Amino acid sequence: MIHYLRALAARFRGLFGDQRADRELDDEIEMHLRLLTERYVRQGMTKAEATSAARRQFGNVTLLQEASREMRGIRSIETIFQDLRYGLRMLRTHKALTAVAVFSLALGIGANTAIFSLIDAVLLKMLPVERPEQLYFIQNHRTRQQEGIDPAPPYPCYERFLNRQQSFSDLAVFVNPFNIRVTIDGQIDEPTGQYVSGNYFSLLGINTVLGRTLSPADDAMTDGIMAVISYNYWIRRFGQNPAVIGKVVQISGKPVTIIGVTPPEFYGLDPSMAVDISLPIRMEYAKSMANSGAWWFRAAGRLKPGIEVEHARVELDTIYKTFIADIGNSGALKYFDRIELASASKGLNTLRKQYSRPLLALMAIVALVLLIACANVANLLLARATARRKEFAVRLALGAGRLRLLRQMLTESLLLVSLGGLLGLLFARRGSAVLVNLLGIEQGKFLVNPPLDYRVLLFTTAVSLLTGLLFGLAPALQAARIDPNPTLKDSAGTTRIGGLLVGKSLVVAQVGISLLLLVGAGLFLRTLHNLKNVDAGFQRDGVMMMSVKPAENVYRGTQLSSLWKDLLARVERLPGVRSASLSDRIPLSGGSLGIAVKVPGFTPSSDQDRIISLNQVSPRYFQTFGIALLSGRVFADSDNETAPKVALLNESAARFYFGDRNPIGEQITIIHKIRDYQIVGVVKDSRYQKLREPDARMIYLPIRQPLDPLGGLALAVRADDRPTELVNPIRNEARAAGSDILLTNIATLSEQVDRTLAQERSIATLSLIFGLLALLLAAIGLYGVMSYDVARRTHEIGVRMALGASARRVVQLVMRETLGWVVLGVTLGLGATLAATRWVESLLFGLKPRDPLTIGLAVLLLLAVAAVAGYLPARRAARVDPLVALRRE
Amino acid sequence: MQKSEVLQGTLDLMALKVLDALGSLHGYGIARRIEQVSEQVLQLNEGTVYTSLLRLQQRGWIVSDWGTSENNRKAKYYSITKSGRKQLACETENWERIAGVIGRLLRLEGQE
Repeated sequence: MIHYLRALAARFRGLFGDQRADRELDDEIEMHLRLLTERYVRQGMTKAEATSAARRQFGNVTLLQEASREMRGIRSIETIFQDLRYGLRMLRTHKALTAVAVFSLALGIGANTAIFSLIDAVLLKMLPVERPEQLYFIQNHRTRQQEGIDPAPPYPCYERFLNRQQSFSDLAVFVNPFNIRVTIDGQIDEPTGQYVSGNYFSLLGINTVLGRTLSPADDAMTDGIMAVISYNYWIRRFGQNPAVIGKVVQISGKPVTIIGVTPPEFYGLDPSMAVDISLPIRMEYAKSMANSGAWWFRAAGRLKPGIEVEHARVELDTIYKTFIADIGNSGALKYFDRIELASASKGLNTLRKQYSRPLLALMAIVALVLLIACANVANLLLARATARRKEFAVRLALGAGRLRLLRQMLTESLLLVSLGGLLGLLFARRGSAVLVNLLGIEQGKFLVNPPLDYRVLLFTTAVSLLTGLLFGLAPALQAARIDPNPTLKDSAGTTRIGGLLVGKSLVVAQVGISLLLLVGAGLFLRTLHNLKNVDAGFQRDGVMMMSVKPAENVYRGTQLSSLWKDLLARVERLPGVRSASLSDRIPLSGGSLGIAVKVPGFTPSSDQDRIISLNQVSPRYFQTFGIALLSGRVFADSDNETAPKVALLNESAARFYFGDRNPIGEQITIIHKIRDYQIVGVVKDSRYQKLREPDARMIYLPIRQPLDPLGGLALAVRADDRPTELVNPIRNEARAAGSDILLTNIATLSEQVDRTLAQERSIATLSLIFGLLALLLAAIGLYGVMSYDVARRTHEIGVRMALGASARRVVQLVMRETLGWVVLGVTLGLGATLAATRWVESLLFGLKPRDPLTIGLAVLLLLAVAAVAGYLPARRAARVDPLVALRRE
Repeated sequence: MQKSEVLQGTLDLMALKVLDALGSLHGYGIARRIEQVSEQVLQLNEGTVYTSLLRLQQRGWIVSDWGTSENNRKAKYYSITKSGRKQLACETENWERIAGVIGRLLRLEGQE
């Protein structure tokens, strides 16, 4: 072992010119010459004669020294270049094989890289702030868990934290981001805004690329209100104009000066809610800041180095408990029982929670496809290596070391994989942009880092190397194991029974994996189909929708309600409009407003039973959306502010609260308003959340009898034929009704439906693509292996035909073997499928994971393709000329 | 006697055999033994032994180490390794087979 290491070390030294070895050789030569000279002297020559005789006997010293140096040193580097040149030549000779191999590898590696960069951004990336591992969110733990981070204790308690705590070097508060209406040069815009305390940016360690950040001095707003915008917003809205610093915009009727732009990588604490503009918290929340009963803010802090998290938590918890005792609000402890610290380093990633399942599933699928590609390439290389047996045998016989041969083969594999990897990077660049689109993430808000991030490059390189080793090792080892003598003699005696075992098992594996992916694709496609055709309770064609938001402080009270009346009347009068409606919410909008009701004759068994979803709608809402009336009547124009209060229930609500009784004429009480409404009708259920979820209980109130003044409503218009043509006319009417009305989210109802299905659609598309890809690769692999097998067995086939087997018999023979392997693959694949589909159950809709129809279809498809792939070589086998075949022996 | 041209490969083989039979030797010693065994039929430039030895080392069939020579000078000694022995056995078998075939062939002609 030590000898081996020493030889290795000598080789390494030899790479860079080895003076020690030179000197050692010189010593050896010198000793050799001396001994020779002494011998000649003993034989009777004179010293001089002996010396020259010795020299003659020895041969040219300088040549020997040079030859040795060459053998030792430059040799190693030179051989690497030799290997590379040889490898390139091999690749160029077999262009088809190279192309197929490189392309398959590129697809596999590229797909993996693209998905990894997405996973990297969504799951792994740390916040682009200074030392994120020190940042913690200070949360007041609720007994009910919620998405995102829990709020921090009320601001007065937070002030106590500021004064008394010792564990954090800095603390800051902020409010969750939401859309803020901003007027810039008379134009209305609705960027995502966040209210923060003055030290927010210094806490996070964010500097600006232009101007300065907010500072604690800006909190008091004595010099006016300052704001900081994001890089993205600067490009989007201000065209990257440096004059943005000092620009004054209007927010909530107040002038705000923009003083800084943050760097491009910073988007706030949650990458899925990129913050466009940051404002001082006192601007909107001065009252809440004095309120000891408002759990409204979020807080974060930077832990001092050396302090334990638990120690900090206990310190804050103690201060909190003291605060609660001091204000005498022990009831709050029922909901907000203690302080918790949560690591902020990955950001509040709601995206992560939403997409981690599908992304990881995708990663698994794509890894499988890469495996198949590797298996294919391995098979191709194995086949070619066996064809090159003679070449290797000659090289071995001529004195090449087996290690050298191994290295040569690995070099070729690495060349292939490097080409594949480079091409794959190109695919990945395009691919991740496409993926982001497919996964339905808004391009502007979600920033995907370009694939040349060092982490992604590292990943690609690692995957490529692993891949190269995986498929390169098998043929390399096979080449190195060749026994030169029998191979040179070209005997057929080396055929093993059932030879190419490795190749065939690879094909079996490929078939199995393809089946798994095809079944997955089938399941997802059918899920999508089911979702698209589910009865959502409304008619989705021909409806145009938009959000209407009048300026906040301009329209109030009666002015507001007459604005709505006016707008609706104007829109309904437009030609091409069959009906129009205004409502609080629209189907499939997500979001829910629940209120508590009391129904006579109904005893709720829990608090949840009292909760019902609310929608406040104009009379022709049901007509516009095509929601069927089941009994009673819908709202009419006569149900106005002065008329008796009426309500409509949906089917689920009616059944839940009234059972078999007729709800029409009954009263229902809205608890927090202590108001009674009379039920006048029951309408069909419709989906308001997601298509997957069953319908919730719903109560409809007329828009002229709202519970609270309505700030923004959804306008829906059912058109006679083309809804999109109505957009501009509607805009005009809106402008005529009132000048500062913002119209956003303009889309048709069918577009909205499609949008909610975006995730399902993308999963179905991707799994179909990958399933077919896997199938294609498996078919190519099968074809390759069987062709090679037939070529190898030409002799045997010739014998059979000479003995009288018909062409058809030969085809049957080959096909039987082919299908045998395929069936084995299908069986194994079925086993894997039955085991694995369990995990995707939550992603399916309307069918079970072990759906026999889907599985059956996938198996049939696979068998059909395999039969075709196997038939071609079988036909070639049948065309073997027995005379030619026999002569080859 | 002409110095016959001996294939490099054959010289490697001879050096290997010498080390196998006689244990550790330095370069000069190997050259002497080869001369002895071949009964001075093969006369070659002795320096080429060192090329052979380097090649054998690179293949891992022999290893070198420092030791003291007969007259107490430091010298490099070579010895055969396990894989070297395997290689030797393989080559020996080859040679004997070839020799057998040629022998049969030559006798065949004689019978004509």
